[in-house]
Amino acid sequence: MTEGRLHLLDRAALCYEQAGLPLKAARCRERAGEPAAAARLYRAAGDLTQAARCYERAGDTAQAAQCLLSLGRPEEAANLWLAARNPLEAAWILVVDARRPRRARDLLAEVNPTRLGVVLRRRIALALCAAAEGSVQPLVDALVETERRLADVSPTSERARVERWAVQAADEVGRPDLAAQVFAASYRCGQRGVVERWRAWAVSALGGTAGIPDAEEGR
Amino acid sequence: MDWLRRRRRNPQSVVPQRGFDITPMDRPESEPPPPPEQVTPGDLLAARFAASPDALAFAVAVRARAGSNPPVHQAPDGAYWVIVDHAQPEEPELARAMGGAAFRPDRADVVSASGRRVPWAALRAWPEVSWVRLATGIAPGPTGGAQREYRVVTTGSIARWVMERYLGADVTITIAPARLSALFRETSSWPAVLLRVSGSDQPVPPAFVHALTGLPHTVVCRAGHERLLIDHRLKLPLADEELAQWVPAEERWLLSGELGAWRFDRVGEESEPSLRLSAELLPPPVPMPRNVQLDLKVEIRLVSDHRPKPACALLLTDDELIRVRGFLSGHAAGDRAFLVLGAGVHLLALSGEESVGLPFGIPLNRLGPGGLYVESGYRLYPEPPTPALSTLFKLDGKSLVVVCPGSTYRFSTRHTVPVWALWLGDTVPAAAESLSPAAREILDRVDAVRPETTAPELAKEPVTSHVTRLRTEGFLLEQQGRLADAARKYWEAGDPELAARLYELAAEVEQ
Repeated sequence: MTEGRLHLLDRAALCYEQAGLPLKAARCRERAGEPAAAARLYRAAGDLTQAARCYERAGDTAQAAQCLLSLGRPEEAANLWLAARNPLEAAWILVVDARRPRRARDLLAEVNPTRLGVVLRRRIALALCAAAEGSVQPLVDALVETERRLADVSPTSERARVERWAVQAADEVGRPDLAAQVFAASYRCGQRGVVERWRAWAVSALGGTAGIPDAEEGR
Repeated sequence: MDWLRRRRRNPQSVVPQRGFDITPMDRPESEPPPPPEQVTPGDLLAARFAASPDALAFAVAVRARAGSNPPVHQAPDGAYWVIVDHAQPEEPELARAMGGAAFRPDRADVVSASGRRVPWAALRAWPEVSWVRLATGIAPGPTGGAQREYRVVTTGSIARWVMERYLGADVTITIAPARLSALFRETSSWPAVLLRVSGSDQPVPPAFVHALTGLPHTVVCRAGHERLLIDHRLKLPLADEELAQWVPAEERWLLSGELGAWRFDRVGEESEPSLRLSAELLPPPVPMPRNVQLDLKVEIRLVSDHRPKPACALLLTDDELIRVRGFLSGHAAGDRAFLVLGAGVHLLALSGEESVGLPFGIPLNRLGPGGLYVESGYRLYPEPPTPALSTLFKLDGKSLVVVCPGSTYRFSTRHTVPVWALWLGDTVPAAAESLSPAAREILDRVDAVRPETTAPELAKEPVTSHVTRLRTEGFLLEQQGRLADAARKYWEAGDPELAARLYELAAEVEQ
C-alpha cells in the first residue's frame, strides 16, 4: 500500500468522522490497515461484531473479548483467549459468563502459575467453579487469602485484576462482605482508583456508600 | 603510401614515365646514336635470354647495382637482350646463372662464349620492350595470403555469381564496367567488369580468393598500384609500384598470370550492386504509410458489457431536461447534481460518482480517472490502459467525452451548471456558444436572475454562491480525475461526507 493511498484514506476517515459517519470512517481505517482505530470507531458506531473482529486483528484480545461478552457471546470470547494462549482468562469467562464450570476447571488444570497474582486468580477461579457446583467454602477461603496477600501482588495492574476478579466472585455467590474486605485491602495497598470502584460497587450492591472512604487520603 | 616509398629503394633510378616505345630517358635523345662502324664499347655486356622472366630478373639485378634501368631489346627471334653498359666482371656469370647467354664486345659485334656473333648496331635497332611485357611471362604461383582488398577483372556472369555468393560474407563489393584491349600482341578487345572486393574490418575471406582464382576470363589482382593491377599470384623480382612506373601516364594496365597484359580502355563509374531478393523471398508489397499505421494499431471498439454497473451520469436531450426538473427539484441529491450543457445533448452527473436513478436519458458509466463516459452496458474492447485513454479520446482536462454506440459527444466543462439552475438561477458563469436553444435558455435565465443592475448593500457575494462555486469547482476537478483536489473543494463547501467519499475514491485509484 502506498504512502499516498494511506494519506487519502486517513483524510477520508477524518471527513467521515466529521460528517458523523463513524461506520464509514471505520471502513476507511480498516482499509488503511489500522484495525485498532477501526475497532474503536466500530464500537462507537455500535457495531460490536465488527469492533471485536478488528480488535482481534489488532491483537487486542481483551477488548475483542469484551465486545463479544457485550454481545452475549462468552464462548467465542473464551475461545479468543484460548487462541491467545491465555487459558486463565478463558476459564474465567467460561465460569462467570458462560456458566460452564467443568470446562473452566479443565482449562485451569493446565495453568501452572508462578507469580502470586496469577496464583490468586487461579485459586479464585477454581473456587468459583466449586461454588457453581454448590460448595461456597473454598471461595470464602480463597477471598480471605486474597485479602491477606493482596499487598504482595505486583505489578499494580495485576493487583487490579486480582481485585476485580475477587469482587466479581464475591458478587457471584452473594457475599458483599467479602467483596468489601477485598476493596478495603486494595485501599490499604493504595491501589489507584479503588475508591471510585468501591463506591460504585457499593451503590449497586449495597444501595449506599456509608463507611467507605471519600477519597484516597494521604496518597 | 609511406610503405610504397619505403619499398622504393632508389626512386631516382626508376625513370621511364612514358611508353616503352619511346626512347628511354636514361638515353637522352640529344645523344646521337653510335655509328654502325663504331667499335662496341669495351666494358659492354649483352645478355640474351630466351625467357622474359629471366631477362627481367637479370635486368632488375643489374639495376640494383648500376642505379639505372638497363635497356632490354627483343630480337626478331623472340629472345630478349639486356644491355649493360660498364658491366662488372662478375655480371656475365650472373647472366649465365639466370639462364642467359653473355655476349662481350668484339669490334662492331658482340660475341658469345660459343662464338655466336650479333652485330651491335642491329641489336640496338631491335625494339626495346617494356618490363611489364617481360613480367607477362612469369608463371603464377600459389594464391597468396589474405589481403584487405582485391580487384577482380571478370565477366558479367561471374561477377553476378560473386555478388550473390559473397554479399553476405561481410565484404563490400563495388562494380564498374571496363573495356580492355590486349597489349604486346594482336589487338583484341575484352569487355569485362571490374570489381573492388574489400573486407570491412578484416581481410577478404581466403575462400573467396581461392574460388575465383583460375576461373576463365577472371583475374584476381592484389590491391597495389592503381595504374597497374597485378595478378595476386605473381611474384615479381621488383616492387609492384616500380613496375607500375612503366605504365604510361593516363593509362591503366592489367598484368595477369595467364592472360597476358591488358590496357583498360575505359573504366566506368563504380557502383554498389543493389540488393534484390529472389522471387520466392520477395517481401509483400509495401503498403502505403497510412495503411501501415492502421494495420499496426489495434482497433478499440465498443462491445456489450455483461456486468453493467449502476450509472453515474446521464445523457439527456433538450426535452428530457424539462422532465429532470420535475424529478430533481425535490431530490435530496439536488445540490450534488451538475449539468454539463452541450449542443442538443447534456450530461447530468452527480458528485462522488453516486448512481443516478432517473428513469430517462442514456445511462453512462465513467471510464478511467477522468473525463470519459461510456454508455452503460458497453465497454471498450480491448480495454486500453488508463494512461492511453486520455490520448485516445483527447481528454484535455477541459472537456468531457461521452462514447455511445454510433456516436460520441464532447462537452466543454465551461458549460457546467448546478442542476438546480434548471428551476432557479444564480450566478453561473458560462459562455454560451454552440449550445442548443434549450441550453442557451437555461444560461440566459441564469444570467437574467443575476442582479447585475442593483448594487446590493449586503454581502457582495451571497454565501450560497460561494458554496456553489466550490461545489462546481469540485465537480469539475472530479470530472478531470483530480479526486483528492475535488475532495478538498467539497470539504471547503461544507460537505465532509462527499469529501470523504472522494478521498476514498482517490485512494482506490491510487491502489
